[in-house]
Amino acid sequence: MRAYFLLIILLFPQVLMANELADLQSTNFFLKSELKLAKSTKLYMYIDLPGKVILFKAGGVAVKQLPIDDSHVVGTFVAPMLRTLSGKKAEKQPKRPEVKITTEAEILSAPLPAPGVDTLDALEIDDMPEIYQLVLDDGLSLVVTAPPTGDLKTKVTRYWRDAVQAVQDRYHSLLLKMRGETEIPRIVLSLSGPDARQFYWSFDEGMTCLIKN
Amino acid sequence: MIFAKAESPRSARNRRSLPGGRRVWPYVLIALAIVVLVAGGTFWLLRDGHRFPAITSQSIRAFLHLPSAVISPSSQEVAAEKAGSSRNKKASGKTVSQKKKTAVQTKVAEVQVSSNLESLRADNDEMTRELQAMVPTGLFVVINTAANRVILRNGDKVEAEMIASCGSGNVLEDPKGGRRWTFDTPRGVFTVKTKVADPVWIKPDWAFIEEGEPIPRNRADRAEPGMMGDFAIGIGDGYYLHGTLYSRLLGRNVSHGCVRLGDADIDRLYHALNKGDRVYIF
Repeated sequence: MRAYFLLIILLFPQVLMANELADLQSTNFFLKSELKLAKSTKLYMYIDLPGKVILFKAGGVAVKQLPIDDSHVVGTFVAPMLRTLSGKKAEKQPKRPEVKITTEAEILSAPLPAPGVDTLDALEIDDMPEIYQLVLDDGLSLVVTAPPTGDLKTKVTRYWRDAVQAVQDRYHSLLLKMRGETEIPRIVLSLSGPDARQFYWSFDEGMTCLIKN
Repeated sequence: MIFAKAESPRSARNRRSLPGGRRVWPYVLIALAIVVLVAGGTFWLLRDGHRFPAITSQSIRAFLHLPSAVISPSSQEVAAEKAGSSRNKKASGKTVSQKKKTAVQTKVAEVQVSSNLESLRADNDEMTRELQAMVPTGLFVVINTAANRVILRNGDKVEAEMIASCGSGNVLEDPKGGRRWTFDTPRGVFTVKTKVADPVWIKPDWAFIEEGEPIPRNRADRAEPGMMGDFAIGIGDGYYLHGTLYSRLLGRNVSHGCVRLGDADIDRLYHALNKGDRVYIF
């Protein structure tokens, strides 16, 4: 086996050169893009699919790292480029609570809440979804999923819904193919429940991401 | 004379039927149909790269931004080249000179590639150094607004982890003026701009609207000492890391965008950080 490799190296030095050039050019693109992002004061996401990690970065510093349990690309080839988050889709979108204008007198006269009852009106990490879709400006979407938690019924329901969704996706792809339309690519990312919620929390509309595929 | 034993109609029927007398051919037909459907479907799906990227030399070139010399040609390109070379052979005896020309072109391409490699390596090294230089060497702060945690770091070392209260994400609308506020803690990279001991909170308009009070005209009526604790660290745009009266709510998202900390923690941060130190918020 080694002899074959040596033979290939001796006979086709151009192949090696081309590979090295390709690697260097790819690295060059990511470094250039990152430098551009790091020079701004904004938070940005670096999604490294081969490295199985999502990095939250600001000013060139990785401030948080989320491991990717599994990922795959559905549809056409995902070219490396800078993308901006244009929208989030989830079955239960978290809603921002509206502040009720209350005078001091009203607050003082209000009955005390029962012990153990959470009366805090705020948008918190637990309000974030674990399954959602992030739509980027070029149409590419990141489908984020987390393994189901809870009782058996919840898990079975979730697996059933995932299976139905998978079949629907396949048929949708076929339909588009038959119509001669191009399928919008998507990247499916499996994260742990808390990490999926953290990603939804921190990745806001207008933020930029860099996807290494 | 040997006569072949005549096969009885019954045994002939047995050969073509399953136990129980069921006929074989419907099953064979169904199996054939399944094979044809699966094979046809697979061929149809894979024929032009369905589910898989259509990998052509053109797409690789586009992806890698490579000059055409270093990519092996596609089958169409090979066919075109073959057609061209056969025409050349027919045309005249220029084959030797063309071969020489091609060899020279290849050499030129190789030289170009190696010079490209050198310049790319140098460029990449330079950018890597530039990125590494951006990482702070001294103390800096990382704030996780979801977990309500403030981490004081010195390079890779975590000096302290503190419980905080970050923005509630609530929305307030001014019923009179139509103004709207969202109480989020901003995200990104900030620097310590001001450090204040015994800060006095100058209540903004939203603080009066929220309490259903009229907005005062003079600044003195807005001043509220003690609300921000003993120390405040300004990071710009009116946002501060400061102490709080509501220490029982630490760990929850309750603030109007500032980062509230316990007395001991804000004391430590105030004395550890200097103006210009970085604060990273996500």
